[in-house]
Amino acid sequence: MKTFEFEHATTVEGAVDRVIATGGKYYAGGTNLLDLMKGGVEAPAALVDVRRLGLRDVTVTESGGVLIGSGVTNSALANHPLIRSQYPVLSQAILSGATTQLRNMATVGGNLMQRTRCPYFMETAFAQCNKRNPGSGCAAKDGFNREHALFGVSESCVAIHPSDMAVALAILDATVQVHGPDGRRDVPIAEFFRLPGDEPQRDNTLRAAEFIVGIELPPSPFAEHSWYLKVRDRHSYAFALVSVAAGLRVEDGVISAAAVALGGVAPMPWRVAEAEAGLIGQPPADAVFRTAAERIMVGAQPLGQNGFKVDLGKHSVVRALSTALRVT
Amino acid sequence: MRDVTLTVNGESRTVAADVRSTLLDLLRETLHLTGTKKGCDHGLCGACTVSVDGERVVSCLTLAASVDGSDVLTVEGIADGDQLHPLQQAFVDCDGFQCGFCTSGQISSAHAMLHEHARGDLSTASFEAGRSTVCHGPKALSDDEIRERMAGNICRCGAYANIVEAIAGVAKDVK
Amino acid sequence: MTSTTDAAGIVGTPMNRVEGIEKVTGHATYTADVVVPGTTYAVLVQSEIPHGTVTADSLRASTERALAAPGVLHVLTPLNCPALHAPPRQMSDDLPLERRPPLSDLTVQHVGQHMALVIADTLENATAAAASFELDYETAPPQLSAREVLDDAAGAGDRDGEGDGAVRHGVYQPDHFVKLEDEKLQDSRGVADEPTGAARVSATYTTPLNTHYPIELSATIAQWDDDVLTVHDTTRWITGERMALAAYLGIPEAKIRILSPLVGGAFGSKSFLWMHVALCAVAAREVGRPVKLVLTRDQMFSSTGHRPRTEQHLSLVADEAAHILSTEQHTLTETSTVAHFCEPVGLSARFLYDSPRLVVSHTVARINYPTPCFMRGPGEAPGLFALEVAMDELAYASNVDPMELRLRNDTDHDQASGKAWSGKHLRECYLQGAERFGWGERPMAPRSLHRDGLRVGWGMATATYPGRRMPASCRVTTDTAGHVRFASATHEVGTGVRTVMTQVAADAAGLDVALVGFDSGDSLFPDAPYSGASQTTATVGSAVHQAATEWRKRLDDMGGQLDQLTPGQLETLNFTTTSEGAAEGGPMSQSFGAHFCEVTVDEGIGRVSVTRWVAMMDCGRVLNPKLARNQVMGGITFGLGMALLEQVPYDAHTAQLIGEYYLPTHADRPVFDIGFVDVPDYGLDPVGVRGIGEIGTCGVPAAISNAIFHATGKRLRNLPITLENLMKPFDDESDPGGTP
Repeated sequence: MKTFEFEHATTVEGAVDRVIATGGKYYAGGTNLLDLMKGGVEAPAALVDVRRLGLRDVTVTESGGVLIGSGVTNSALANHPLIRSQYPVLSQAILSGATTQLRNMATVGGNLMQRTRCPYFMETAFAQCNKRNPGSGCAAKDGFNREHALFGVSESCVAIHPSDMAVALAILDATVQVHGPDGRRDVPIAEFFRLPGDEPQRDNTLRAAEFIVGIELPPSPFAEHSWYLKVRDRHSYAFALVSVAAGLRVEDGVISAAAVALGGVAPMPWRVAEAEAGLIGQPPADAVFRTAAERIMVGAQPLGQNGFKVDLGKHSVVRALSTALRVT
Repeated sequence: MRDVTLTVNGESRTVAADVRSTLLDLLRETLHLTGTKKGCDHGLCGACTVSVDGERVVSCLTLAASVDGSDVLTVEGIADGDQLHPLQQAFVDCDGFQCGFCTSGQISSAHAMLHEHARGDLSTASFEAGRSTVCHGPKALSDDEIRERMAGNICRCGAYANIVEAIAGVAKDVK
Repeated sequence: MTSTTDAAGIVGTPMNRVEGIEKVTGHATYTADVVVPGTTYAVLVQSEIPHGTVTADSLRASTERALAAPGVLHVLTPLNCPALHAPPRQMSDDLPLERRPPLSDLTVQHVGQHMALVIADTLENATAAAASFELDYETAPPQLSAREVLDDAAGAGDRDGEGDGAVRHGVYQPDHFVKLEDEKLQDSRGVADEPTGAARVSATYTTPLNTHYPIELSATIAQWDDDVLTVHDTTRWITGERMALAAYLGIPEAKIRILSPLVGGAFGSKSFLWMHVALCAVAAREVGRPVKLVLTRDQMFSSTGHRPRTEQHLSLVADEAAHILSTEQHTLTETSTVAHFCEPVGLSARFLYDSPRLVVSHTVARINYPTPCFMRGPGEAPGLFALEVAMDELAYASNVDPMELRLRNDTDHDQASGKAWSGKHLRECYLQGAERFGWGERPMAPRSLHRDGLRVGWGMATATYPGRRMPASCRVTTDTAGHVRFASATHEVGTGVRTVMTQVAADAAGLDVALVGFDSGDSLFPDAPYSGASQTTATVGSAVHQAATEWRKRLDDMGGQLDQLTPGQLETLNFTTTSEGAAEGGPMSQSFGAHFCEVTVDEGIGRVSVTRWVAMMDCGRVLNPKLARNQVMGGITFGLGMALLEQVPYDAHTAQLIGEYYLPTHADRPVFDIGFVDVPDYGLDPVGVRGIGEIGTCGVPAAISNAIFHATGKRLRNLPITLENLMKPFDDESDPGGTP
């Protein structure tokens, strides 16, 4: 690892100033950034440690939702009484990711900022990676791509975003609160992540030196019926091949609210409005869930090794909706 | 180089550390507390688990400079002098190890895990039991709960069954 | 579960491990924990291409840059590394010791080949300097699979890949496994042509690259004191490593001391002499300070051996009564271009079932990939996968219960050699295991069982592993307080050898176990062979038993009271004794067992769970049931990884390691019920034991595949079995399940 400057920030504005001044990066749990630095994928000139900024609270908002400080650890968020009772799918999604040790270190802000796990990105011995080295090519397209995307890909990149938490945030209509040189901004989660397009090196829509200060969730209709299903190669501690966050509200025998997002299949959590709209007003029956599953997977563009994710995605959507329905 | 001060197993230590140094390498190579092990250096195996400010972490992905001022508990600090912690005794009696290399991490992890459960923390296994369990936390630590909570500690010798038996025995006694 | 102080009967009790307290308190010292004052740190630079030549210019430029980096003391490359000697043929012909010393020329034979060693004052400085290396290569077309080499050799008309150089290509067919001349890799008996029978199965089975992945990274600390070299190394072959290191360095063995008291898991690795150990010794000599080298996890995939791929063609023919008439198993496997190794896949087929006709062959292709070596159950693990799945297929082709098929074809002697078994209780394993599992309730037809919306399947397989015994020596020392210590240059890798040797010694010497100790891990101790091949208990146990028995005899001859001996008499209780290997012309020693397992398969999301496992083992006498049970459970978990999770992933275009190698976690393993027949077998050694370390893994992948067949009707012959194999199409709405 190349050496770097290191300092603890004490205010948000100060952190932003120091990142601009040094050209460095924000450092919180470090579970992804330090790993990438060890591998030579990232070599920031400076690290501005943001874990002493406070930003560790989970509070109720005026509208009855919650505001989550970006410095809250993944574990603390998953175990928070407000989240467990009002947004259990978020708790479940977070707990499905990584291990307790890593969740204790990683922050909510850092979770959104984590880079892809595409092995061509993570290993500098592979010269062709447009995300790491724009213009060098994409080795995954006709290489090892079993774990890569079905949607939102471009000629330049086929990687997925690995966050479980983000998939749950997607169905909860979260808003990411950001602070930067130009002040505060609110970014709906659906606009936070980017498709690679011609600039795969930019994972999200943050502008230079912008810093995530919090995540706001509106009140959720899915407290009673939601589920996070994660399908992976071993029973725990592995990234998703496909994951599904599903939320339902059922009133008088019909679905009155529904949201379904997929992880593991795109550079961002993948929601399909037509599929969700098609659930509204329908009875929560298997055939209805199957129709939604088919709609969600429309437009999937399998690569050489990940075609199984199409059927797996459909099965998983049906399974997650059925399980959400049966939660007691 | 920068000074890093840590309270390690109750004792304040200040060392000059390379800013690139992980907590793991600082513990092992500078403080010569070699009980904590390096199995992968990338957060994949859990052998380097210690507790920082009361929460278990993987020390190979912890930048020493970033935890300056923290409390660190390593496996060497879990016994009370010559008196083994019940977890340690249980590991010996239940044969919760073979080569022993992952054992420091298993014990550090289990020690923290018992505290987590006692304060009501969840795992994904808790969601199988319904909303009430999710809200209040599982009362007992079932084998499934223990396995999921310990899944970040890999044992290639495969002593898993005995590790769970040791932890479950202590968890029961603690109740 | 505490140790007994009653000397009579300590063997066979579940005594706690003697090093247990050290291990649970963090005070157990492994190689990388050893603190040597003045230690410097070494980090390897490895090649990123599979075949070609590195340019001298880029080596020079990178070396210059590294030498200018903070804290760097020295850089070893092929341009400046003092020449090492090739090992003698007696070491490299049969064993995977590399014929070509490291850093000896500019050619590259595989990704991960050592290209340089950077030595610096701190680990961070050495790591950063090594990362600054940028090497240029002239690439040459690599050969990356056995099929490629075979097709090439066929085309070129050259199938004899012998040659005499250090670097070799092509294919070859070795005669026997390592130095065991009776373990024939090309073998046949019976009629020339395959007979026609009532049932025939014939299929291809494949196993992928697997790696040992011990949690302890390989580590070496080398230091010179004048011309004497001390090496702390994570080795389980102290005696052999000293011999090999002496050969590579060109110095006498007497000038080398090797220390390895505790090893953090091996599973077949950490044997032989791996090239980084020699480089570490050279580096220590060049810088004049101790050098510590710890491999990274990625380097463990290329630098300490692995299990090579196998492709097996297996045919079984049986008559109307389901008696096997013919067995053919032909294996294609791989080694590197610089070392010999043949995964001895077909050895079990030679004897496991009664088969009048047998043909077994092994063809090894030399490819541009790192050198492989033993991995837990070498040969048996992949070979029994194919054989035991084929037997399951034969059972279905013959409409006979799978266990019944095994019983009908059980042998009462070793057909390969014609010898009797020293002990065999396989039938008891089958019958008792089946009873404990509930096998009698098993409906034959696949897809008959289900539970909670999941398909359920029950499968079984036979396990076997040789009982081997080599010569070993043991030293006894007695102090005036009556403490007796036994010592041998063997290794505690997690098998519990120090504990069971303490039990054997206390028992044979008639001593309270609290007065007895067993030391291992130092080349100054009397010689012992490598700790592998499940042979340590029989081998070192024989030496310890002999020493302890002799000790008791000498004491009794002097009156039997330790505290009444003169100093001269006490001195006679310090001696070294050597026990022989297995008797020539003696019976065949083989451990046997039976595995029974249940799996559930969720066909919607393609998820398999191994839920419960019964294993009955016939391993001779069980010296410590607590340790033995743990060992077998560990072996089964290892086999579960082989079946469902493990394959070394690499990029087809560049041959580079890619992605993650998945091991079983806490969440993946079944509930276990382990039993032992526990009948002593004195045919191999006076202690009554046969090997136990590897048999737990043997047959496991087949049992799982067979259970999956029973659950789903899908016959899976390629490992690992993954989600894609198990998930049903979304449009297949039969058997709607859905409840997770």
